[in-house]
Amino acid sequence: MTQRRVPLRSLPDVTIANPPRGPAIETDAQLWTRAAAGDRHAFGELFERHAEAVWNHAYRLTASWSQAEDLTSSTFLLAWRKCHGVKLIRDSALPWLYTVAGNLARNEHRGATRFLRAVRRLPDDTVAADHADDVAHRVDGDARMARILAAVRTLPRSEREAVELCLLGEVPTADAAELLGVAEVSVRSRLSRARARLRTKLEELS
Amino acid sequence: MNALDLPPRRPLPRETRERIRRTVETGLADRRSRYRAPLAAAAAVALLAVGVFVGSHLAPVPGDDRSPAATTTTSPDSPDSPVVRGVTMAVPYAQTNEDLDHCADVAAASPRAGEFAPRAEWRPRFTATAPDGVRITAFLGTGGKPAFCEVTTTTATVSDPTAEPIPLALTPTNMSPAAVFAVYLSPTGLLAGYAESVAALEFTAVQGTEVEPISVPAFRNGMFVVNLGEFRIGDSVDVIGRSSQGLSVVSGSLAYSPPHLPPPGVTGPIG
Repeated sequence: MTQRRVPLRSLPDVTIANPPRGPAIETDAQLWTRAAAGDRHAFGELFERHAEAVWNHAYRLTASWSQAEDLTSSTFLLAWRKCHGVKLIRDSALPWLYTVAGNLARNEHRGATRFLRAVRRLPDDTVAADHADDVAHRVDGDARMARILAAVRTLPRSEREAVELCLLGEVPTADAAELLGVAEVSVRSRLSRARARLRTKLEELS
Repeated sequence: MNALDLPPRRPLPRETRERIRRTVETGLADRRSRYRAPLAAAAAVALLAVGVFVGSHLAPVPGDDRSPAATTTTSPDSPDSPVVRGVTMAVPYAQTNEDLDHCADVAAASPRAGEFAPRAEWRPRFTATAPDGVRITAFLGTGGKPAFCEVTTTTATVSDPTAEPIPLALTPTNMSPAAVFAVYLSPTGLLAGYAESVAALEFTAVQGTEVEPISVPAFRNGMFVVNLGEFRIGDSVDVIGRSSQGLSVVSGSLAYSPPHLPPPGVTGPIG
């Protein structure tokens, strides 16, 4: 028995009046609202959307891919905890997630650097331990990224926040301004000052 | 951008995404029964806990390690009510020294014996006892650093002498410094650490939208012990440090994330 093969081009043209569509893609804000109400599937969708971006940003905040993985996990866990009180900027969860990652990374580093001062103030402290090596070991990985981070960490807090969002995270200045609660012109001036400081600092470090 | 010559972004490897996803999913799924209290009830207990806490610290005994004041709280522990766990500081000084001896023995028998200061240099601060009888003694150990010794009916554990403290709360760098650090987290959920420029501490367990105050911590000479009960992935604890005037001077939180928790100490059986 032979089969009759019909070349595709011989089929008549067909116009589909109402082509089938996949499920509508929900915006971050819609998913965020559902997540805030306890919907883990919605939160999972947000995770799938932004995990890669947060992971890359976390690397730029730590200069270590292993720390970036931990920081990404912590960022999403904290996001789950806090999402009920958050208003998204321009319907994207990413700037806020970057801010959370930045705060987590900043606290980690500040804890390390302030430890020495803290133990020296405790009563009966006779010999203060030196943890400078531990601090240095945290900033391992890519040497270039580590140098940039070292320079960024010398910036005043307001400039550092702007740099982390706009230069490291590549968030638009308008979005960063809304997130930081300042005018966009302030963010631009902070970035301008920060760029000048970073240029000088990076030259020193190299 | 890239004036900073940043390294390019990379695609997230599938296995890395899986690991992160598993950690996050575990955190979302691992809910504790002790967090079932509605917000209103938890808030009411928070007010009670804060009141008791302030009252118990109006007359601190600076430098007095031998006559610790009792700071105990208890509460109903029914399935429908929040569990408020307290610790007691009324422990005889002799018991404190005996516990430190147990920990010193364990430290001396461990491969890390050389990292610990000699027992004679350990300076006890206070001992806190949990409702299940587990005791933690706060002391200044290697290099005068804050350290903790936990004793159960069968084991003694001394906090890692070289581990870096975990910051729980820090003030912005442009303000007068105040900070809270964690040094030791026991398997039974006792969190121990120290605070800087803080007169009183308040802790609150948080998961999702549910919160629960964690009663009165033992807090003396800048060192504290607080009973978190179960503390798992997805949980976190908020801390507020207050000045002697009752003003909040520092606040922060610790999320359960293994790389960011105090490491386990050195453990061994009691003699």
